[in-house]
Amino acid sequence: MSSSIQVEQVHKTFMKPTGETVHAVGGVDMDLRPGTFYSFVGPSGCGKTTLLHMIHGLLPTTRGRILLDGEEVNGPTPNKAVVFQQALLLPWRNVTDNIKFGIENDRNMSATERLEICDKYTQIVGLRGFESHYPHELSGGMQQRVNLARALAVNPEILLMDEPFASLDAQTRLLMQEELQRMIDWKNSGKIVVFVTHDIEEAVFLSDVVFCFSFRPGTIMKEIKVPFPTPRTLRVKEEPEFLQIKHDIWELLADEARKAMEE
Amino acid sequence: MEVLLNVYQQQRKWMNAILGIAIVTVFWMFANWQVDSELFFVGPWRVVTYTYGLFASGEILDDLRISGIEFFWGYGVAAVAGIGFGMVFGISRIFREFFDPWLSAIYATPSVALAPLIIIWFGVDLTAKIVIVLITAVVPIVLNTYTGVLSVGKEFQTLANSFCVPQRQVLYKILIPGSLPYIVTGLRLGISRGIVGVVVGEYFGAYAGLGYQLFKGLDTFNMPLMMSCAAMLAGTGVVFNQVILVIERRMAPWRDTQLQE
Amino acid sequence: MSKIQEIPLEESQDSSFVASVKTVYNRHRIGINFCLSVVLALLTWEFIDFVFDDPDFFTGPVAVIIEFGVLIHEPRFWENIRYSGTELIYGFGLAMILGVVIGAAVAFSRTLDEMFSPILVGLYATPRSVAAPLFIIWLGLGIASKVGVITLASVFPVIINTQAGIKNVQGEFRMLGRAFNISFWSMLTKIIVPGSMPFLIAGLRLGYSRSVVTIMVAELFGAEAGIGYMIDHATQTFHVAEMMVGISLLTIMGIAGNEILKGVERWATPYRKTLV
Repeated sequence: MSSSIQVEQVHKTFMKPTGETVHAVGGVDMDLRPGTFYSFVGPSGCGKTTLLHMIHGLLPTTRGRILLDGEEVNGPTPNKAVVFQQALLLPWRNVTDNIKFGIENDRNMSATERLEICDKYTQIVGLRGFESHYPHELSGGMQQRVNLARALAVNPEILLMDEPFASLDAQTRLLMQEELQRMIDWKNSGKIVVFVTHDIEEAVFLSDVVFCFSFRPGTIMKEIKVPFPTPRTLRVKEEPEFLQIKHDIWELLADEARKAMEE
Repeated sequence: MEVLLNVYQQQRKWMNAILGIAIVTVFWMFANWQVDSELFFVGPWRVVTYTYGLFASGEILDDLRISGIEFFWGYGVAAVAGIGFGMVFGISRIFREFFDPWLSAIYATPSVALAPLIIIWFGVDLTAKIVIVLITAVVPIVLNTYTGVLSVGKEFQTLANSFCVPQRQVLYKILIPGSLPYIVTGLRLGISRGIVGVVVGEYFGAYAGLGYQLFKGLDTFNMPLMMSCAAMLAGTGVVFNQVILVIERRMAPWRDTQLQE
Repeated sequence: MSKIQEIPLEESQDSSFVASVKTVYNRHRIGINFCLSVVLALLTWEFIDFVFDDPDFFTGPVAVIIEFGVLIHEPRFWENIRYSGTELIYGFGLAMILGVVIGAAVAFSRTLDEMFSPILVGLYATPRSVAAPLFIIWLGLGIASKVGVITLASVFPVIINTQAGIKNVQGEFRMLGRAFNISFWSMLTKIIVPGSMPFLIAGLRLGYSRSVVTIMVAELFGAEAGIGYMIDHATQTFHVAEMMVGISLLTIMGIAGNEILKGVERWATPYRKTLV
């Protein structure tokens, strides 16, 4: 299991209901390799989430193409999974059944196998003992764990994460960042992880490669490799080299962020 | 004294509920004592004994059976058809845009006013009564189901798409459970309307039924009969409403709070 | 996903006639579908009339309009409208006042809430218009009995929604009020009244639609005049066109009141996004 993704000169244009057109993504090229954690950082409205959705196949590209193992992406497939920004758990399903959501339609799997998978990922995301809880009984952090487990249960080759920690409080967020590395284990499983975030520190901490996006139309301004070995601990954040990378990215993004704010 | 106060503090919710009922009952008895004429007013005890008499002599059983049949079929068909149509309106954009003015008209039309037309079209037999119950009860069920489907966010559709869930499964995995609270509200609102439909239907050439007895009571100035029938009709509403609430709690344990309609 | 309206910019190069019709349709699709729907409804209605061809059984929209034209010359017709209109205004007006007062009382007093809310909720589930014959005995065949029934039928949604609205705002903003140390009066006028307005108006709309239904029910049990009385009278004489005029009048009353309340809602709560 090791797929790769080529993004070739991808553009995306929207039409607002007012008739105004918005050029959201403006010619992006990238080459995503298996066993690598990628982050997209950039100001609000730089088209990073839009690009994520196009890689997933939820949105078509306006121009250019996205290839998964040499084949053009045209719709969601079971080898890709998304972790949404809002947990989007079905309120009428308990933890186990929410995790099961993505594998219910896999006919090659028996009911017991499904339960075993749910069990495994419940364990991995640390929700043992909460199997029969309903979403309203869980904290925000736990809901995001279920959200992640649901995506992991599909055992996707490509894991797409759309600001999954944006709604969490600062401490929970830090802990989740650290645990996420263990939970996904992309190096050994050869997954491609794409992580969209506003938070530069989060991006640098988690990623092997950080893509910095410009404001609309979103293009890649710089591709930065993060040299620290994984898994990392939160202590990495204090190292001078880490701070330097973070600082460089902020220098790069500050003007773009200002443009976004003045919009 | 202090012990009593303590008990009151601990159980105040129940105590106050009972106190409330007691206040209303005493007020009712007082009014009855003041009016003191069975032509105009009947006390609570007399309503109970009169109702018991109706059951004991068996003269009300036939009326209950007839009204029951009317309500059962009318409301049953209204529930099935109402949920079905509400779903279709909610799911299909074309349907929704096309029939939206119809829905507004249905919302605004006092459906009871259609009863006389139904009588002209279907005659005065049981079918017509069932249709009257159907059209009065179906409106809130359709409208609430429709609102419920729309209330299930688009993001859940995206979720289903992204996990490659086939479109037909979206119906029972997402849309039906997601709109269930609204459907239940619609079903509850439909009950009391359906009962009004029973009464109005029996105004037109019935020979038995609770509504028929109500009209008979009015014609013969039989106040105990009228109050007894009104109490039975009202009680039916309360009982069915509770039944639906219990079913909902069984079926939907994920809901932490009750919705206000 | 919901941040941007995702309408991809595609297929605008095709400049054929069909494409331009499509564009116009897409831009005004809601309006066009509305008109199509109304026209289709009227045509279906008239077509059924054409098939049956029996004015004692079914009448189409044209016949109803003609009947309407005949009826407006009869003073009795206007008397009926005036009668039902008066019932509605007094009955619903009373329900509004009582509903807000009782709703506020049970919202502010915990004891009153615990005492009477179970009864109120119980009564909310009952078909209250079946009390109409009792009111006729108590208040006679005139307007008073109808006003009583209409009030009884429509007061409960107003009570329940007023209570829910006030409790909702209190829960959210009590701390804000306390933090800024404002008086009860300011709390009431600046926070509670505007904050509970959306709930209140939702309750009024529910109550209003019940009022209109109850006109019909109340007048069936015995009346001197009114639109329900007119429909009942027309039924006894198999005068279908007149019945349909009556039903249309009640429908118009329903729509008009509902639209007025919607207007009030927009005026009173302009900060809320209107539901499309």
